[in-house]
Amino acid sequence: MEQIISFSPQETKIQVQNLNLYYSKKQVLKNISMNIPERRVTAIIGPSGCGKSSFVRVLNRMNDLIPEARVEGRVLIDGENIYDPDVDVVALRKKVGMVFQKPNPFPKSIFENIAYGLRIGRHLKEEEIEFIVEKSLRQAALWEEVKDRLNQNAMSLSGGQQQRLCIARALAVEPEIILFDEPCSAIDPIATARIEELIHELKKDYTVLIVTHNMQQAARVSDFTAFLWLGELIEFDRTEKIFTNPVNKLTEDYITGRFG
Amino acid sequence: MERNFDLQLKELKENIFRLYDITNRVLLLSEELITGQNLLLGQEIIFLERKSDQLETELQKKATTLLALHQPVARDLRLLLSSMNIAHELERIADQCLNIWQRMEESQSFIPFKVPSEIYGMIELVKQMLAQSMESFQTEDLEPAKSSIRQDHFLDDLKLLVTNRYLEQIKKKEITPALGVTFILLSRHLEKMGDLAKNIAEEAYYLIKGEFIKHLQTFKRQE
Amino acid sequence: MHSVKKKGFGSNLKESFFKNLFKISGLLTILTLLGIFALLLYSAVPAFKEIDLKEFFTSTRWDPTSPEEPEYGLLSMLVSSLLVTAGALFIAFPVGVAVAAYLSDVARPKTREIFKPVIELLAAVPSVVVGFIGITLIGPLIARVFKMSHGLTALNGSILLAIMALPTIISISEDALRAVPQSYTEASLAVGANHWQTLIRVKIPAARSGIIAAFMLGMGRAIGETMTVLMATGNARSFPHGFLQSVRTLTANIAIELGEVPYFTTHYYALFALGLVLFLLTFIINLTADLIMEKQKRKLL
Repeated sequence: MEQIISFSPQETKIQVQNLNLYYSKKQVLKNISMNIPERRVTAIIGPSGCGKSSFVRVLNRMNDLIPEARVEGRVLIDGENIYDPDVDVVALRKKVGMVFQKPNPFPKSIFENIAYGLRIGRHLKEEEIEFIVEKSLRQAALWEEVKDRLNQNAMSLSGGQQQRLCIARALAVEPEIILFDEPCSAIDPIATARIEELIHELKKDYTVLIVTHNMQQAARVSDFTAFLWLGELIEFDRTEKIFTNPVNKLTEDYITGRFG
Repeated sequence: MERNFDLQLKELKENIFRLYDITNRVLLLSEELITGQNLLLGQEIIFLERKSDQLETELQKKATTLLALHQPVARDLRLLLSSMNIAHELERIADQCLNIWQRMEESQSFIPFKVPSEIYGMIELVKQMLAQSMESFQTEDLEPAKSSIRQDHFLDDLKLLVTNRYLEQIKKKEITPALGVTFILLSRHLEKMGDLAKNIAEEAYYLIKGEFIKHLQTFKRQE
Repeated sequence: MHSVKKKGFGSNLKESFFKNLFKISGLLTILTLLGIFALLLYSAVPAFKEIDLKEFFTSTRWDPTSPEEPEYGLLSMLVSSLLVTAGALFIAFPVGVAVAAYLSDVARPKTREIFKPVIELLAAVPSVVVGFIGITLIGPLIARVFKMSHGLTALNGSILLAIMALPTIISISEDALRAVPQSYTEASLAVGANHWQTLIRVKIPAARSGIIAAFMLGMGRAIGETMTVLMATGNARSFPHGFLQSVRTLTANIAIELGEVPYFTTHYYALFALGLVLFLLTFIINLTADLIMEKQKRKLL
């Protein structure tokens, strides 16, 4: 009994069709089909181990890192199946950026952290790189705090700043989709609030997916919410619908804290 | 999983029914007041009305605390919101009973007087609607609430009937204006109580279905 | 209610006994080190009653048994030691880091499970065996390639020391590379880097201090090695001018001469002075390596 909202092709950025994901024998995602709308924030919620993180890692093929992972079904981004053999994974990952659970800046300077993605593969002039670094830091609402110390090690920033730096790093390579994998689980509430504001800003230009344990966060930042349970998509609907009047009993029990 | 929050919600709901109990008693007293025209009942009505005020305040406080501390969603959220609104409506019904007592007191010089049968009918309707609305809230069965909402327009009709008739009689000097006005006002109060009972039905509907049906007039038109 | 006060003093006693046992063991190690240092110093100092310090450190001639004019200059041997070591590291370091990168990033877990113990086994080969290989295998090979009468040269020593330093370098570099958090790799891949770029631009720089430590420890291993160089480098006393020359390192010299020297002579004391120089050299190298590794550990926390 699934309740799945659907979107017109014009509104849709990502189409997931009959997706199954296995880690060796274990099935992690079960026959998931959903359309993810463009320039909206879609939250993925569900109890630990329900496959939320695995799901977003399907979308930029981060699961390729796990040798035992096997994907069935199709994932279309702008109509192209990203699991076709002729797909350039590097190009895909530039298009689908990712921000991780724990802030993971490189042990390099603030500037070099963001320039990193620009220096690989492309040959940009130094002033172009400087321009993009500033632009990305501004977008991530970090510029004012770091503009005087771009050459300092990124590790000297606070947790929340580090996470915004990671967002800036993802933005620098001009993605179209940004995946947030529990971006606030390692930072304090005030830093969390800033990141949530930022996500709100980002949806003007990007398609955003956010995996979160924190249901209030899903409620605050997202337009649409998908509830995954034991690898299955149980319900996917407008966020206000999910949080005031979910259709499925499992969804209701989960978001009201009766299990999970 | 039985949550601590569930216990608190249950307690809240129990308190709503305590308030309902008081409102119901005030309502019955007002009925008795109209039929028996014994003004001494006023003491009890005033006492119970104050009690309902108190209880409502307590309920609102408790519900606000639960909202702030548990940040409920989905069914929990709907239960809290509807409880808050229902508490308010119950208290306002008790208020209307107080109004009825005031009207009777104002007209004590005419006692005993014959009350128009429509007023009795209205009291019956209000009692029935309130019971149905609260039944829906209790059992989460939609039917009684629907029925309650459907009946509301009878009260409107009756009020109109009473108002028109006594305005006419006053104009024609067939009735003491003060008494005529009393009847009109009584019908007003009862019509208002019916509205409030209907609101409770709508809150129950929101709790059960998650949809707002206020001002939609869904059921009147349908059936 | 349970009291939180200590019960009796039995447990106290046991606790303090073990605490002190460990403390004493630790102190003993430090004392041994200090003892060695003191012994070396005690035996080395008398040498300088007769030897000019300047001569000791700047002369290239070491000829204590010369009847007319004995001279005690360590420079030839010091340079030989450094030359052989440098050569060894020149070979072992790039190879070691490459193997470490292969093991940590490319090899499948199965392959790594086989490779690692084999490499560690390499470290267990006795130095005399390595020296033997140098004499019978690599030496003749060098002689053939460079058309020389024999192959017992600095190059031979460097190659053998490289083989001996490799396990240390591989093992520590690999640990350092594997200690680089997976999150760096993910972050790098997520902005569209490939595995090669990630290795070169993120992982190796992040593991930098561990890799430098591997380098230093490899150096310590090479500079202190005695038997292999003694057997494989020809032991000529002259000042080295290239890799294709026989050389005598500090360690080899001590080993050769200490067996024959009359006790309590200047020559005897001078050998201890060489030992002291060697000791300080390896001590500084190891200490630097330790400090670098400590820094790496703290950075990764």
